[in-house]
Amino acid sequence: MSSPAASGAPSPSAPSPSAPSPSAPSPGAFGVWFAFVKMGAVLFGGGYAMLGLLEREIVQRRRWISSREMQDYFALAQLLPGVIAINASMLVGNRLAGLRGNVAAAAGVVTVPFLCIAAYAVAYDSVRTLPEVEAAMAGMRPAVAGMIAGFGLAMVRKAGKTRPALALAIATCALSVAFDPPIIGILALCVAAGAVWAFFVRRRARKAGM
Amino acid sequence: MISLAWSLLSAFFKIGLFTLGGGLAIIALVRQETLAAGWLSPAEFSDILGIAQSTPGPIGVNAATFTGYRVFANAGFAQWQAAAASLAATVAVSLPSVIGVGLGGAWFERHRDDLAVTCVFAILRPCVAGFVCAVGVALAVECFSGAAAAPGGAPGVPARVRDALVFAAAAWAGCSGRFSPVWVLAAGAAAGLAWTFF
Repeated sequence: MSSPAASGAPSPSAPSPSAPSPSAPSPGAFGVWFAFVKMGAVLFGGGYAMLGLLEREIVQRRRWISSREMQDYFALAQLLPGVIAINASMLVGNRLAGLRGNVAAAAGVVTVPFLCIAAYAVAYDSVRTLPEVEAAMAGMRPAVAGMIAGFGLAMVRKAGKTRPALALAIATCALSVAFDPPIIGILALCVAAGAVWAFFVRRRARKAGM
Repeated sequence: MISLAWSLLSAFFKIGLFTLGGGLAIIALVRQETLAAGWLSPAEFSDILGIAQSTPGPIGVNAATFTGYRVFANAGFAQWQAAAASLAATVAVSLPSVIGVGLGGAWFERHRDDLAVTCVFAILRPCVAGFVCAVGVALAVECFSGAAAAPGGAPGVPARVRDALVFAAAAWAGCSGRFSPVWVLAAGAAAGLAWTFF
């Protein structure tokens, strides 16, 4: 039995996820930009907060796409390389208004955050020596460390459900703390190892099937 | 200036490109790249994380914006040049998404349940989780050893007890996922203020 994925050669004319649905009219690039500016302004806490915002603004309030479709886009955004919130914005913007919508959505979601951070960066040197700011920052540092450690633990709990996966997570953490290896190299190695693993699993399945 | 701009942009492009297997991978990547290049001190990195989490926006994009500005400001460039660098770094970290969504989007849409994709992510996810944990450990070590402390020097014993309590509470809050990072960091900042002024 051959797998359908192996036999199906990618054709250039395959339907892309950006094919517009016939029901809703396109809101246009400016409409997309404005909707994403609103979401960017209240996007606290990273990629996963983005899904809730998209559901509320794009699915429920504006009814531009269905909830089901949004879930699909968000799942895809997590697989693609890049910042999850940007990926999700681009996929949705692409679906709503093509390439212009893609760029408009990404530009929109970073507009307010960019202005906030740029303002903070300009003020950083003069503000950080104020005693109040210094005291607040001194309390924030252990909070940041704890929160990142907590996020990491939650990720290990989620990703390490099997024993080999848990061992891999712990080994990566220990190696990283002890030796600070190049992360990009290790991630590339992970991708290669996954591809090799899939190759062997598929070959074994084919042999067993014969 | 050209070579500094080039290394900044290529670093953030690489960071965006290798943010795989969960968005928080970007924290580990930004930390390694910026500290190795000497662009940020450990204290500045910790401050950026706090700022990036307590202002709106994706954390990787916020870190790119801030780092772009700091690198050019620290190298003695004018404010407008530093602002342009921060905009460029923001674009650079988002650029891999354009490529991923534009070129890979349709392909991934068709192949996302493939064995190869499943296998790659089965290995990537625990690895990335390990890297994020390691950043938490490194930040804690810097915080308690005083490497990330203000010019005042290493904290005394009572301050360390306070830090340990804040760390434990924040770790619990972060792990449970029930609290917005904004409130966790605000609580930490409030603890710092109360400690100094009461």
